[in-house]
Amino acid sequence: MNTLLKRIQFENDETAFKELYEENVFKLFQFAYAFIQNKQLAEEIVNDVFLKLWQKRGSLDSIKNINVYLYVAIKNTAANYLRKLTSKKNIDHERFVVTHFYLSPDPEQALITNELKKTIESSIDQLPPKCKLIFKLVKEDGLSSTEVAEILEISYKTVNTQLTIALKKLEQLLKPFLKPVHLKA
Amino acid sequence: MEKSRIIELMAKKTGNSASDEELSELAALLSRYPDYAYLQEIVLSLKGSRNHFERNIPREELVNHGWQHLTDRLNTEPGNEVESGLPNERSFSNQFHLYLRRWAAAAAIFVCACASLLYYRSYYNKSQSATVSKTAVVHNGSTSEITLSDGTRVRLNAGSKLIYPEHFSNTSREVTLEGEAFFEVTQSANAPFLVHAGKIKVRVLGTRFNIKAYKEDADIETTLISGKVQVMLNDDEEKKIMLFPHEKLTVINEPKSDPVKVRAPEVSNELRYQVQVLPAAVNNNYVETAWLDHKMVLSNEDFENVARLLERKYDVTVYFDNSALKQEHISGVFEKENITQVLEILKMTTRFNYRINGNEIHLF
Repeated sequence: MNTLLKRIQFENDETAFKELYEENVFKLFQFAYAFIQNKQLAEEIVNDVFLKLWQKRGSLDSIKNINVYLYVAIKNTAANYLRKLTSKKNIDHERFVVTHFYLSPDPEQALITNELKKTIESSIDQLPPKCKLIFKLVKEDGLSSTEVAEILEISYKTVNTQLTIALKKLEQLLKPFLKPVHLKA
Repeated sequence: MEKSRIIELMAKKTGNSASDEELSELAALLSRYPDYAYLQEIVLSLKGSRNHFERNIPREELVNHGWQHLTDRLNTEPGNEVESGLPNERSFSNQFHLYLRRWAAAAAIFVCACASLLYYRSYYNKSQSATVSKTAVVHNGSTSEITLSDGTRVRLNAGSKLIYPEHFSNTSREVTLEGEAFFEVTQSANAPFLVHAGKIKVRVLGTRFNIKAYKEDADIETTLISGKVQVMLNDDEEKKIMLFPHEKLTVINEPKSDPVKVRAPEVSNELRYQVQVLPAAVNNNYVETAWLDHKMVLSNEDFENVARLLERKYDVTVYFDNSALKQEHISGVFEKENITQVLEILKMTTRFNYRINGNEIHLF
């Protein structure tokens, strides 16, 4: 990622820019969609962010963490759109809609039946929106708790608490299924 | 005690923020509680399942389509020049290349436009002379089903009208809808199927979808169940909206009959229409198509809208003697109930009284 940024900043490398775009567009789109629930607008928000990134590529090296930067930019741009549309002052985190997001276990990695897979999927789907969003950002987008805290402007502790809630839910759910794993010899 | 510590440590590990000490503490605990090792394994194996989101919004489409838009904007918006001020030949040749490409694109569009105009005109003359148009009218209180000459099946909801030619031509299939209908269009590669509905046109190749375009309603809705459709707005010919399965397009309609309802001025162009991905449904049972099974699914609908549904379904006229009732929100599922039963059920959750006078229902 950082070499990509250098190529963009110092060589005006469009292919590097495209690579950066392709790598991130899908998860950023989903993040924008969580706020705005409108395909066209979500796409536009993502493009606004990348457009700006290209325009100020001369100072890319001042960005500490490009991941956090991109998510925060999406959040702020989405907030601007929402403000224009609804005249709401701040983004209300409870309003996240992540209904279209599922986490599912990879049967190749864990010993699970199809039935259990479905149970897990539906229980994660029923987590409170904020908890689900955090769990998604960590598990799917590969962000760390500190990064998520920075992006959502909440404390690191809150992020961990939310993750704990998600794991407790899984624990509860798996209780009847919990059985010792055969450790690979 | 120790088990909740395990969860706590797992949460930290999941968030990639556990220290080395914490990691080894977790490992030690897990060796004592092997069943939690299983939980850990499941947590580690959890992946964002691509299939759900991607089924609705394919990644490829998003990447290509989005990138296309972005490069268009990069090329047209000012302030995108190289800021360092170092002119280099590569960017010049690129620029030239871009101009060339844009001219070529413009020329291509022009040629296409001319060609399609000619084509359209010739087709139009032909079709006018060759076909007899028929009109199917479904009155309030019933639904109906017709099969068109190409095998396309149309289910018409109450209070709807479909104008269609007795025989379609070989090159084009066009119908006009007022009201609500569910289409199952037969495949035909060289004759696209076009539905005119109020201020939109829907273009399809072969697919199943629902259009709700009652003149008196505030919105025109297009819901796609399978296949692919393209929707064009009559007042903005440039705008072509592609719908993918399980998506619903809502276009704001300005009902002529109700001039009192003025849209807020800040409603921007973007808000005139909206594409939503429908929540996952069991067996394609969407609210939008419930009427096909003679069901009425209401989720938080204004009483005013519900009244219009009742008028169509039961062939009655509803009067709000107390207009404050119009804003009440109604939820519920109705299937075989008659109108009196429906009103009785509504009374359980919403405070109102009613009087039935022949086909007239007064709410107060």
